Amino acid sequence: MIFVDKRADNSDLEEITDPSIIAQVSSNLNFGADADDYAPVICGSIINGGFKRKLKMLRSDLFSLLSVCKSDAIITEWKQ
Amino acid sequence: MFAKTSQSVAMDDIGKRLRGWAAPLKHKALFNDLVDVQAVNVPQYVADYKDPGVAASGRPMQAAPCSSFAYAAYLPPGIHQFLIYIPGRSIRIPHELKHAPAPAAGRELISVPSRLFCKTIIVNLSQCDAVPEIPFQSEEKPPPKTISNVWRKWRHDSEEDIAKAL
Repeated sequence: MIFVDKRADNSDLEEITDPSIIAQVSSNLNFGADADDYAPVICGSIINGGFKRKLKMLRSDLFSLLSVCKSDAIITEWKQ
Repeated sequence: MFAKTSQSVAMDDIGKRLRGWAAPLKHKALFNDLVDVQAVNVPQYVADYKDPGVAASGRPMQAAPCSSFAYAAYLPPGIHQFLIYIPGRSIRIPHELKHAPAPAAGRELISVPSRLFCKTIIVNLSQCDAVPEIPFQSEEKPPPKTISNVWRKWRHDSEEDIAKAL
């Protein structure tokens, strides 16, 4: 389970500060210059597509709600 | 005030109703006795969560606002590498706040730069523990090979061997 705070230092994670690398990763993830996506994006070996596919992270309170909730209003189909 | 999108308004509405949301998250991440959870970068307000209780007026006290994001997955044993990319944002300041104190002073548009994080995790999960929540462990596997005992003749140490050992 990985947590990310957009405003904090995230001491458990290593930050890459080189702007050229950030720009290259952004272009590889198909983010335009005017992208205004709020949620962080995670990619890597957790996804079958490796670093080509991307997943959005959930805000922690919503993640907590979905992990304990069985309401049909939220979950209509069991996947696993 | 800044103009809010409908999505942020909906998230704020959810956050107000989710009093105590950090408690189940803390138990899932730090006190999970069903599966072995490796929690990375746990926020301090989740690790130190305590029920804020009830105010003197009888109303529940406000919990800490949520500012972090989470992702969880079942990982097979091995080396895993992640990239976490936080897209940059352009925040438009209303005209009436142009003369406000910094950082809004004299600007109409504030750009928050993109951030990039990387993380490498080594998962060394014991396969002998049957955990039904992990899908890839439910398959039938052949039993491990047994190795017979090896017997050797006992020999007493000589005085020279004892002197060398000391």
